[in-house]
Amino acid sequence: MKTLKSLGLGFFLAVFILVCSGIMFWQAISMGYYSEYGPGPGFLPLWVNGLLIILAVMYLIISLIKSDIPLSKVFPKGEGFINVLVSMGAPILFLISIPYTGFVVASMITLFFLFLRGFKWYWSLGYSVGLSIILFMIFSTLLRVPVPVNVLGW
Amino acid sequence: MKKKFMSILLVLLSVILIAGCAQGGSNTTEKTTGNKEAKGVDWPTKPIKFIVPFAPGGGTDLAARTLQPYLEKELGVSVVIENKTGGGGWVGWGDLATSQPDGYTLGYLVFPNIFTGYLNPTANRQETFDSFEYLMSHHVDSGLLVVRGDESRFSTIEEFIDYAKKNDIAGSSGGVGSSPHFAGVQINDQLGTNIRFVHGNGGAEAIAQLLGGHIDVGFLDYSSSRDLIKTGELKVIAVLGSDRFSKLPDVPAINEVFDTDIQKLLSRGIAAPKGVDPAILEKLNGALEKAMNNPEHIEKLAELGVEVHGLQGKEYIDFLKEQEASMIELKEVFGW
Amino acid sequence: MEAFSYLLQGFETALTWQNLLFCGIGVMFGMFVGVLPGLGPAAGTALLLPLTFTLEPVTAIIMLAGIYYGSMYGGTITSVLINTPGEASSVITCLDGYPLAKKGRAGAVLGIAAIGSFIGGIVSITGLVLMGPIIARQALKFGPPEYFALLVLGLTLLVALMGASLLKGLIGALFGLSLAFVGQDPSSGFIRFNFGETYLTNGIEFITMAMGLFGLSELFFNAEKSFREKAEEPPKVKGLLPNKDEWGPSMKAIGRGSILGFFLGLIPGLNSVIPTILSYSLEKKLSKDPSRFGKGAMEGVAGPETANNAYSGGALIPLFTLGIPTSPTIAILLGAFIMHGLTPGPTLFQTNPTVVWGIVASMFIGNAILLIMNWPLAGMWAKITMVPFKVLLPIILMVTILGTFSIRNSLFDVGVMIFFGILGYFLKKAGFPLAPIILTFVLGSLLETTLIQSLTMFEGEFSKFFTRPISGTILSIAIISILFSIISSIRGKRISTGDVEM
Repeated sequence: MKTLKSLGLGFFLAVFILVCSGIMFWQAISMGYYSEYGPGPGFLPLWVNGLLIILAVMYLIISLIKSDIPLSKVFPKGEGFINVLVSMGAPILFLISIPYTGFVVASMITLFFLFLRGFKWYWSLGYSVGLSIILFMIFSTLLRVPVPVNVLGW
Repeated sequence: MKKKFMSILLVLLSVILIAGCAQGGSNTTEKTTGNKEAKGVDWPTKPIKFIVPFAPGGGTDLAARTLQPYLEKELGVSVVIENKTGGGGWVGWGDLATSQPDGYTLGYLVFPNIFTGYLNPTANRQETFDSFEYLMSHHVDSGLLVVRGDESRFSTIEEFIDYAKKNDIAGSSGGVGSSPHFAGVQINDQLGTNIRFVHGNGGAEAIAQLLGGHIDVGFLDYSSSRDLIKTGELKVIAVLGSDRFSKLPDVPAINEVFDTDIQKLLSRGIAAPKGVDPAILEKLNGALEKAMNNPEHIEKLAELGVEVHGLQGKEYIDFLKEQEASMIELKEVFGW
Repeated sequence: MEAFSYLLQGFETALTWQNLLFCGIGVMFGMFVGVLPGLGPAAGTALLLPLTFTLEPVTAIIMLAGIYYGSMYGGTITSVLINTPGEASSVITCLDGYPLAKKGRAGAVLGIAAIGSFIGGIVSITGLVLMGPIIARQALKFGPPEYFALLVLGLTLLVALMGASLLKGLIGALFGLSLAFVGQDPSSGFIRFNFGETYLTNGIEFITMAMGLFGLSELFFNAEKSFREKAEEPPKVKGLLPNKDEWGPSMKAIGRGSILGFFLGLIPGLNSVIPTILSYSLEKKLSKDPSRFGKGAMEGVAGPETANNAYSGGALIPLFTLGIPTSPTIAILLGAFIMHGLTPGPTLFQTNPTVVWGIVASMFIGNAILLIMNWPLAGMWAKITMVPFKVLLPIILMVTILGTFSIRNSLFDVGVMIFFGILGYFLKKAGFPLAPIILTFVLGSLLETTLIQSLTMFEGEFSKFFTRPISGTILSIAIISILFSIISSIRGKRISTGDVEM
């Protein structure tokens, strides 16, 4: 048996899929398998998720016993790791801030962090402000996408 | 190098051109901004958002876009249509119900589809009938009972009902609780027929299935089936509801033939979220009434095969309440 | 040959300078919109629809058709350059297009895609002229059971394409399929797996998921290398044409793709993914060296791209002859028709021949404009691959977010896209093929709808699938192909050939 630390990516993905399909399978049971004519809303979900559970268990066993990708190999080291984290975190930051600040400010903040990975801070600031305004013009003004804005209208 | 420059120039030029077009479009609407004498409230002062909960190009969208320019003219500000699709229309309607009741967000409603959203318990929605201020009914589409032109088993509504009582037949539907399904369920309920519903994605798909012989009867609106009716590919055997349809004066209305109380296919209207200032509502209603009675607008609607309905206020609410009641009666049939 | 004289008249209509101009604007605007991830032909046509009211009906529809072609091609550009399919039909293009672009062949890929699209378009339009009305009637024989059979065939071919790890491929495929169940049950309207979220009642939006799984996860992958260090010199853009030895197979792929796409286009309401899957698997089966597929095979782009364009040309036949729109974009064209007082349908050819043939002719021209503009533009687009990643990453990320938002004007969708981006990153690390997830997801709801519709028609008897000639035949082919791949995997063939990761 492996220790918790030696568990790999395959194990976690298998568990993730197992949980997803398990929840859907469980919900599908209560959904009506067959109606008067033909399958009900639970018919295909039950079959598909049932099969998925079996396959996920197989994958889980394989990654526990045979081979798995160790977590240490999943993420790159050093700067690359920070780059990945920033690229994943920046859009989440955008999503959190936009309801309060409107598009332009949220986009500036997000872009600033992203540009900062490759440029000096003053350049990053300039680029993020410029790009935010250009994108706002294209999407909001030209393409009329109703992007969320603040009280000032941007 | 020169080539590259040229191509960039080309792209830029076209973008500017398009931008110009877009600008031109909005300018014309702004220009009509009359010198509106402010009566009581200072409204409207900025563009109004008009939520259409179905995709661009569909029947609902087309009808809304027919009204839009005339409403803009009356209100003096631009009315921006926002297609917010999903959830059988409820993504848009839910959004309308929860938006700020300041008169700057309006929405386009479709009945009876809207009832299914809150009557269906699995939808688990907070909104109810009272989440909206019902402004004005735009139009009613009676809906037609349509079979294939070369159908040999039945050629009149009487023969059809007779056949459907003895045999299982397949009918069109846009999903549970959609207007065609509701119409069919009423027929099953009141006339004892055995129509099964092949739930699809609405009008166009139903027509294809009908022509291909995969279903036996369609509950369709006139605008989508008009041409095929003219060529005889499709045959209308009855109009839903109690009145005949002006474009097809020879086709009987179903309630005229049988002693039934079957509703018309659908109606569409304009609403605001609950709680709008009554003074604004009054202005809005006035503008809507004028816009709808614009002769050009009436003519454009006629092309879609419908007429302005125009109910307002309490009359409109009573009309809707009546429809809601007949849907609630059939709750069990829908499995709610 | 009456049709041809009409077509000549049509060219007369389409070649007025005004119509040419608007056709060009349409193509340009379409390309511009298509290149923005998330905004596809449907968004483009819908955006410009109100602007067309002031134009002549012919001009307006010519322009809208131009947008349609332009944005389809725009979607190809993003698939090739940043691995982000703008719509379902370009998922397959990513498989070989993106690896080729990484090798500096972006120009050639875009070139062959434009040539393929042009030929595919011409073939299907010629088909429309010659035999449109006759075939359209036959295509109606395809009812829900036949659709179901075709979808099953598509899925079984997908399994056959799955690659090295059958287990991971199958997990991916089933995972994608089960994601398609989120939202309203197509039949009863029962809201499934929405976890109380209104936005999920209509299911997960395809583009949202595709941009997350494909585009965003690829960005995360590329972010692993250091930004500050002098990045490795990106490969030079090597020419705008395929190599000598690539021409032959590519042209054959284009020929097969044209015919395949055209006939599938006749079937109203079929998903545009099906022709691309069928074409890709056909090319792979026929190839001398199937192992190149997924690593950069020119035919793997040429075939599906052609099939897709021929499909969309073929799809106009049901619209023109029966008034039945076969895709969301075509539905918008239909809306434009009605709005300008034209009703598509069997009488359209008689009542408005100049309009119809004018539009048909403009499609020839639109395709030609696309091809011509590709020469200067493909090189320019391909240069995007040379832009340093530290500049590209923020721009693509923000444009992707905005594009996702614009689909339904919802921030929730943006969140979903980010989720799939992160999930895709880990799945890729673990060696899961991503294409089966997205493709089964696309086909899932149609699969379930048609199954339920069929069984409603059959009064619950499953065996009736096999008593209808067309559905019976297709299902039999699907079953044979499954048996075949099971047998070959038992014999261990599958492992030894070292199939491609899709």
